[in-house]
Amino acid sequence: MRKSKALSASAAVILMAVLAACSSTSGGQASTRTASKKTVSQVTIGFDQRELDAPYYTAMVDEAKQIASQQGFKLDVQNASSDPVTQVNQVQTMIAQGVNLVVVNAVSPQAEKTQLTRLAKKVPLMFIDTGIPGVGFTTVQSDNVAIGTLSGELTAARIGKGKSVNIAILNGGPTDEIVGPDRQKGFLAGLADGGVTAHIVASAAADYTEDMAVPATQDILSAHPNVNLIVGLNDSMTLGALKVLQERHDTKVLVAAPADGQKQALQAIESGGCHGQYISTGLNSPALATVKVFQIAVSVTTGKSAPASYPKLSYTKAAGINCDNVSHYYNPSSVF
Amino acid sequence: MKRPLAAESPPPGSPSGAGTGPEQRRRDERSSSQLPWPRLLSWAKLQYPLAILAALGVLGIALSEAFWTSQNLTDLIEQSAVIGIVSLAELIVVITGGIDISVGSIVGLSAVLSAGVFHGSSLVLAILVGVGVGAALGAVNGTLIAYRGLEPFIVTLGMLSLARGLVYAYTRGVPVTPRAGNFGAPGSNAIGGFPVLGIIWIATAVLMAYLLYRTVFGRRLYAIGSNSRAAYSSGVPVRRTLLIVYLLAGLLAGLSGFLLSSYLGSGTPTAGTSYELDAIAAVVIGGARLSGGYGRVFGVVVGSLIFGVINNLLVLLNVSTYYQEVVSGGLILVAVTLAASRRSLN
Repeated sequence: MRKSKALSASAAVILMAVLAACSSTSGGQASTRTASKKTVSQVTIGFDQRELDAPYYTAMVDEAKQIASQQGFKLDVQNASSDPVTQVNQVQTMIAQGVNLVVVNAVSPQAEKTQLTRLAKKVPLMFIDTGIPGVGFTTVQSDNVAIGTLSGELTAARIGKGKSVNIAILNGGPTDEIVGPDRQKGFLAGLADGGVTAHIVASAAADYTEDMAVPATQDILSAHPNVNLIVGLNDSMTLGALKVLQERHDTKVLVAAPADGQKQALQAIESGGCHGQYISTGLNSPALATVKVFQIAVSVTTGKSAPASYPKLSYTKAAGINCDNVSHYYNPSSVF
Repeated sequence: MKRPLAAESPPPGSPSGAGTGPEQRRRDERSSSQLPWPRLLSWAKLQYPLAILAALGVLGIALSEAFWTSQNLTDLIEQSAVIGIVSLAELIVVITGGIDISVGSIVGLSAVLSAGVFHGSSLVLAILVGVGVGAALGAVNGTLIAYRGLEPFIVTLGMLSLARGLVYAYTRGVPVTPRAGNFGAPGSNAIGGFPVLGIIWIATAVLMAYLLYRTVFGRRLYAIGSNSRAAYSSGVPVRRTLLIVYLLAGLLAGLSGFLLSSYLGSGTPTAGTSYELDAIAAVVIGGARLSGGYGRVFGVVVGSLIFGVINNLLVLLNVSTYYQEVVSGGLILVAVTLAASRRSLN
């Protein structure tokens, strides 16, 4: 018994000695990575996506892979599966692996702030879609308040000036600290601009996915039969709500979303027309954001521009979409 | 579920598989004067978790140049430490033949409470709150299991939901940020390049090893796990021991919760989700049996490292995100099968 304990202890000591001996090997890695100018084909960019359970996120990843193969840089994609600890570990490992820049779509800004601030010192770090204020050199996202407002105004036009409406909101859950609240704020402001009085009677979490929106909508409709309008803070959730309404043959309750311009939503708007159930949505193209992000990423890693030269926050183009302009945006063969 | 201890099978937990009769004593006396290699070799042959870890290590070194660097290895320790301590908590419960699936939720509740109670303005207070919450929940588990005779799986299943529910009730789903400036010190600092998290993990492992192998309490755990009726008949205070075991497991889970908050710099409501599954898998890969009576600390430490290495390699080797869970699940099945088949050979 004593001998095996001694052997276990010595195994642990050997392990630690090996670790200590290795400490001389990778000291120079960080400095060589940022200093030298590279060609695009020498660049490796890491991309940690917050989840892959909704088309918005998978489309972003697909777009990124397309850009990578077109431009010739190496892209490492990881899926944080909506877990902040997994995301931190994955970013840490990608940096140890030697990527030249990391793009992150943050799962939970407050939970990851400390560790990502620490990691941002080693390698240029930027955010797409959901950023962490004060961390990284830039965040590229859609202006959630602006697209929410534009979509809200279109919905108000349909409901009618001076009318009042009972709203149920489907949101992204408790860790949706920035994007969801901004979209909601914008949408309600848009409704107010259009002269509509909004009463929020219910609010439920559906994690930005269609399948979680279905039970959430069923519960809302059971608890609040007086709801006239269901607003999912993204198209996936709103489509889930629409599915429930269609199953119940309920054509009275309307739906709308402040974002994203998902093609299934655009199809619903187009087929329903100006008296259909799906009133409006906002343009939040994952492709636009991805193109801009990787433009910046490649420029920084090849030494053409410095991280400090970018504004902390930059927005992609905003637009509201309804039956009048949907044909301009609807493309059945697009990924998203 | 628990098999009675057969006369020929080895005493619980001892790796050499030999008895403790006069023949063994003579063999010991002879071998102490010889070179240690034969004993080292026979010890090594039984360390199948270490073999699996070594195999993964070789795979990592061969396929990725970033794997065997001090940066990545220290990252690995940092990433595995919290689960490592939770796995130690699970080990002591499993040795007694029980199971605790509430450890993940206890991690979550102590993570948010240590960051939020008294606004997290004192590091020492935060540690005490974290550990205290864990111990309290563990004591509830232990009381229901030991003194009410309820099934460990069901009791800890209820505690899993209760504790996670309390987390959401307390935080309303929003991460809790502590005020203490040094709150993140245990989680982020390093001494001589080695993460403090790792040091705490190793210290906890050494303490658990001492508890299990050198104290009467530890002996009692193995006795209860092998045959609780025989243990009771021999005078082991079974109920009190079980209560203490679940309390201790909760305490360790509480410590991990605090450490996780310290690492992240805030108490996140999703902290510890599914940690119980990883802990149980690490414990089984490390050589313990869910039926009780078996389990070594070193095996569990290696088991936790195996998990950390698998997750690390999945990123380093750029395994497609759509296949990562397939690969990780497959590797775990292989590890568990190897563990079970090697055990049955002995």
